[in-house]
Amino acid sequence: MQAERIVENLNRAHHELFGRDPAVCLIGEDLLDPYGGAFKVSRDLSTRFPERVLSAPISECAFTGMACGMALAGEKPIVEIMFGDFIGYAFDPLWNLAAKSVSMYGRRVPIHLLVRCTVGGNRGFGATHSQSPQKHFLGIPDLDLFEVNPFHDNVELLAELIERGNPVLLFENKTLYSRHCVREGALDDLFSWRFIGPRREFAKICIEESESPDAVIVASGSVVFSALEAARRAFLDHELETVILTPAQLHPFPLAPILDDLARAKRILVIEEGIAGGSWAESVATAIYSRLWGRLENPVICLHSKSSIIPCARHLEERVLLQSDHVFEALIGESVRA
Amino acid sequence: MHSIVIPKLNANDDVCILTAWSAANGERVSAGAPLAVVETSKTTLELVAEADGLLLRDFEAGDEARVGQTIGYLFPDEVTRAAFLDSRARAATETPNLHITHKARDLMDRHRLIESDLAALGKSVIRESDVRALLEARAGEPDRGLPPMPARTGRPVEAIELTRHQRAVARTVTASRREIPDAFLLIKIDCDRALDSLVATSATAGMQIGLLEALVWLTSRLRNSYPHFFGQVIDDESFLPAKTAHIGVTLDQGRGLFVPVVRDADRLTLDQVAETLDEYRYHAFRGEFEESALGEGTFSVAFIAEPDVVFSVPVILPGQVCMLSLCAVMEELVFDDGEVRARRVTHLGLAYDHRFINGREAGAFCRDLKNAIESWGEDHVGR
Repeated sequence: MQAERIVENLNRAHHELFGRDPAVCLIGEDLLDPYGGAFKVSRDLSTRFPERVLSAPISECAFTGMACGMALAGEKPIVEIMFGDFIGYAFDPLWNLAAKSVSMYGRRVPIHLLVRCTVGGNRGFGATHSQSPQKHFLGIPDLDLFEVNPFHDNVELLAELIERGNPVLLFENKTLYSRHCVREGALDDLFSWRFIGPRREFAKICIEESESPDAVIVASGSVVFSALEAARRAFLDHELETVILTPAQLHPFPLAPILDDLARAKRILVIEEGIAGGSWAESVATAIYSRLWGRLENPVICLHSKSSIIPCARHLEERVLLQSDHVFEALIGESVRA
Repeated sequence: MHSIVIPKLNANDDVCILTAWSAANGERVSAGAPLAVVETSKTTLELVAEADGLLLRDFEAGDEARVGQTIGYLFPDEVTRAAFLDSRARAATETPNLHITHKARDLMDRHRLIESDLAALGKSVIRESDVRALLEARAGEPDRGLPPMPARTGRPVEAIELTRHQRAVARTVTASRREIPDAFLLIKIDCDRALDSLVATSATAGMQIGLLEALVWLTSRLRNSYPHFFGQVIDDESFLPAKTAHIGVTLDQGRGLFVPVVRDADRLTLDQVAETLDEYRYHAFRGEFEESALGEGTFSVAFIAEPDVVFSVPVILPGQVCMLSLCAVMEELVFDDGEVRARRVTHLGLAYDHRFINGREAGAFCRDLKNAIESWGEDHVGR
């Protein structure tokens, strides 16, 4: 019996949260049954809780602003941004209202606001429905960034995030929805995984635990699968041992739980589907340098998608977005060519 | 033996659920008959048999299958089905599920080790060091003689099978090359005047009308003068002149090559031709065409969108008599009354079935198109 799909897991997370806490509600576009949201995350929610699901017109700024006000008034709204490419409209309420409200009133005001945001390409949706906007929200005080992955259970994650007291942006790569959640242990016929960190901050994926792996890849969201495919090839073709580390929390980045793994690696890659230039991968690399300078064997390699609009045609889109081939090339790098 | 493979069902899903089989295990099914029902995140769809045969079901109802995965097979008869099941059962007992790195595999091959030799290691992941350890352990053993190399049959695992769509393309071009004795002619066309005029036409029409649209429209109007160019081949010695100018245009937006047909192009205005092609481009981008858009062409045009392509020899579609190719627009310098000036030119190619068309007529046909494009003017807007 396979574990549930990530979209089912997210859907159940909403149902459980709604059942437990009457202050929780959901605001976004096209959420009502029978449609149940563009990616079906809110399926059956409006049938069970008709008073607490609001399908808003296309107006990201307005309904996110409204959710900020509700959170300020003690409610616990969840916002769904159908396509993250349009979260630009919601930037101001998140930056200047939600995040500021936590600390600008002279005492700490808990803001229970969770904004879920579908991101990412590889679906042929074109330039304005495929982007990864994570980097634009990095480093805003009291705005915390998380990303869905196949390892961290979203039922636990959503419950934790809505209680966090800081507004939270949760990114959901749309290629993950149809994938299955994986429970701790065997990941496939070659790799297995376990949680590491006191608060299970990271999933650690490897073939077997090794004292000094050839490479560590820090990867979030869907690029975990590009990392995995590359790691499999690097092992079978070149016997390179790779460890993949996947956080749920992008920012502030929890570096401590993985410092030992990073220090032991011959090569470190930080990969993401977003574009370079003030990116998440670059901020992680900077954090790694500040802690491990002098102990690193090689420069940290950051891999991004190309600096380009994202084409619709799938064969062109593949050339722009980060793919497992790019990760593989970087993994084998000079160690094989030399 | 025919593999039943999960096709790409939509843009969102890489996997689907096999809801139900429509035929029993071992049942004989005919090509075109329903085989199974699969469910994607959007909808349920029916898979139909692509060949006649006896069904072998490898997946159960309720199982999940990836796009490209084989969920079953169709066999021509019971003997091949039984043989396949038998050989697979033997393979399963002989080879445990091993992951062998390339380095380990190289070393094994050099020492003529086969997978069953690795059983002694008790490992599922085999590195070079494991093989080395095995060889060292065996160093003291008497010579075991040379075991046979494992038989390699069929396609190598790295081989990529053509998509169903590309297989259809392959069949068409192979048939063409086998059956049609084609000749080719290329003509250069000054398209300055037409391009300038089409910019204005596009602005008025509110859509892109380019040389391709103009060429389709112009070509359709040559049907009366050149009826056999639009004919249908009956056999080596006869053909049927076409009563219509249904003009196919090659479109490939990364989802495979399609030749959708602009029906009755000789009765359409230039705007209508452009509208039809615009719609077809969208379908080509989605990789989805109605069957009705793809059939009954009497003439075809290959459009090569790549810049700087000088000429392209089209492969005449079986049943048709010729095919035009339109290549890139490029600039060149010409002497004009003793002065040097720049002009934009394109190359128009005509591949023609030499059984029915000779060079003289092919040249005349292209000359007519050249003249029409070079003298393109207001009277050509086709309204």
